[in-house]
Amino acid sequence: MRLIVDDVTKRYPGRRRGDASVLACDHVSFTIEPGESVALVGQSGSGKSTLARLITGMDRPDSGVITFGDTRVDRLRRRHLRAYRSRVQLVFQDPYAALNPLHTVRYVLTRPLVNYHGLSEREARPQVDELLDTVGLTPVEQFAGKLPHQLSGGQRQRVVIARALAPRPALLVADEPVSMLDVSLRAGVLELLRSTGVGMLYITHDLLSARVVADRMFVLHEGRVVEHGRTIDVLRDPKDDYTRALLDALPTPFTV
Amino acid sequence: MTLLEVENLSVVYEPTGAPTVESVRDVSLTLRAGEFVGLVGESGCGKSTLGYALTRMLKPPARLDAGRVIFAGDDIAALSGERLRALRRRGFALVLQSGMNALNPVRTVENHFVDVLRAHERTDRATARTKAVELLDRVHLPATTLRRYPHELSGGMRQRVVIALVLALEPRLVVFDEPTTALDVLVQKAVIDTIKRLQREVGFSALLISHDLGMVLESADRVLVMYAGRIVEDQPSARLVRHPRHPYTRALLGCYADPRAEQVTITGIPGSPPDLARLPGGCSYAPRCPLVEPGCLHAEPPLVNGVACYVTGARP
Repeated sequence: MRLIVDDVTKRYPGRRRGDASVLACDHVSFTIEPGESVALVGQSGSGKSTLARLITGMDRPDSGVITFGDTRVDRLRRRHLRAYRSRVQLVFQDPYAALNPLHTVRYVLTRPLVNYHGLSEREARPQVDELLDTVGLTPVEQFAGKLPHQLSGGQRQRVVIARALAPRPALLVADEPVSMLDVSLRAGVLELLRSTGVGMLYITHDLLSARVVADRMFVLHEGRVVEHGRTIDVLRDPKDDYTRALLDALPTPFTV
Repeated sequence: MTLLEVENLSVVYEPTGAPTVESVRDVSLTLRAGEFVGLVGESGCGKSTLGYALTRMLKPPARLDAGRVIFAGDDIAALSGERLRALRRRGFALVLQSGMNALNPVRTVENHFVDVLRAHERTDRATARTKAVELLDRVHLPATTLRRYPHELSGGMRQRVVIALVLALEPRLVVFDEPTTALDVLVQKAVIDTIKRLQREVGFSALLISHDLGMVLESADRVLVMYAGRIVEDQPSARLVRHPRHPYTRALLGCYADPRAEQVTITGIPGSPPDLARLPGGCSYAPRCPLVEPGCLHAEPPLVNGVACYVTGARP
């Protein structure tokens, strides 16, 4: 299913009375084709997270249209919103904060299957095993009973990804999913995200991971799309100052 | 001139009700005055524990189990009272991972400087203030920062304030433990550049601890690679990039590439870092190592000529 963001604008009121309002999204348009991964790059405060909130239905745009297949996302309410969320799932940045410390891995992965697909816990069991296998947490029996504190950061992030994949979504919105992980673990998690075949909006500051994961990227600055194109083309010939600054920040021993 | 010498250092954690874990295992290293050294390894490899041991900051359940840390001729474990205080004043300083959260939220930046300077030197408030302005200037913050409270500053600015505070007492060694982890990529770069510039200007020795080898190579003259509590490689940065010898160092370098290259492959390191409570018998990297041989499985390889590997290093 194709995601279309068409001329979307969102303004938030200032924090205190009298503060100027913030234009977080300023006439933003783009599409994500079925199964396609697109990177969204931008500085803190550029509107990346606002866009993620609008796409996942957590907030509504002031103007413009967001459609996913034939669903008008910006008009969804209650049960339709719930059905939509089973199709568009979030992967969070901080694997230490995104899991309840009191819930076992099996419980965490069973809940979306119960909530979205109405399975009983017993019916969910084989699917949970399959999810653990997909994200590389094997032997499955060993990991299913663990609590978050018994897992490393990389393993936790795999659980977060498995939870997002559980309702069989058509699109993942991943907000900096590897920035809290050791560099040595990032490649494995990125490979996993890529291999799912699920479409993805990949939000990041890290150009290397954007190149590895996404065929296309766009750069957001003060709520506007300032450049977009094939990832390699944007990186080789950046027009925007922020994109250039990010390229300058790459570690020199590895730049060609 | 050698500033810091570590001989066969071991640190153990002895938590109540859990097995003892040896987190730093038989580490020996030297740091020269004015040298900038990086210490790189994955989460849980013992790098922060080593940093704490070097600055005498270990707290129970951690305990120095064996070996010595010699700082400017003194065994730091033997110091106490005023001599330990003097060492902490002029000897070494530690900048923590969440250092920007180390500031007191109800005191202004000026108060932080005045407290530090007046606790250690006989100085009046006006002199302390003048010195604070100079120090802030060194980390490229305006004098008006003195009036600010920590919550009015960004994460990068707070970390700069912490660095300026650390420099107030002119330490000879500064240990930076993941100083940029929670910061934005560009702010991260700016903070590391500041640390590097100050180290050149002021001339202190620096130990930069991080999981990010790329960042460390940007600033350090020499890199120590740590795995499962041991130093497995110790080389000048330039040589480490061109001729990495330990298979673990090679794997760490494989995590980086230029995103503008025609083909981009980053390999990462398969498997997980070992559980220090259940180490394999021989080389602790053997379970993840592509070059493993039967001979690797019997005893831990010693660090010889800067590398601890039976396959790629010199055989003892």
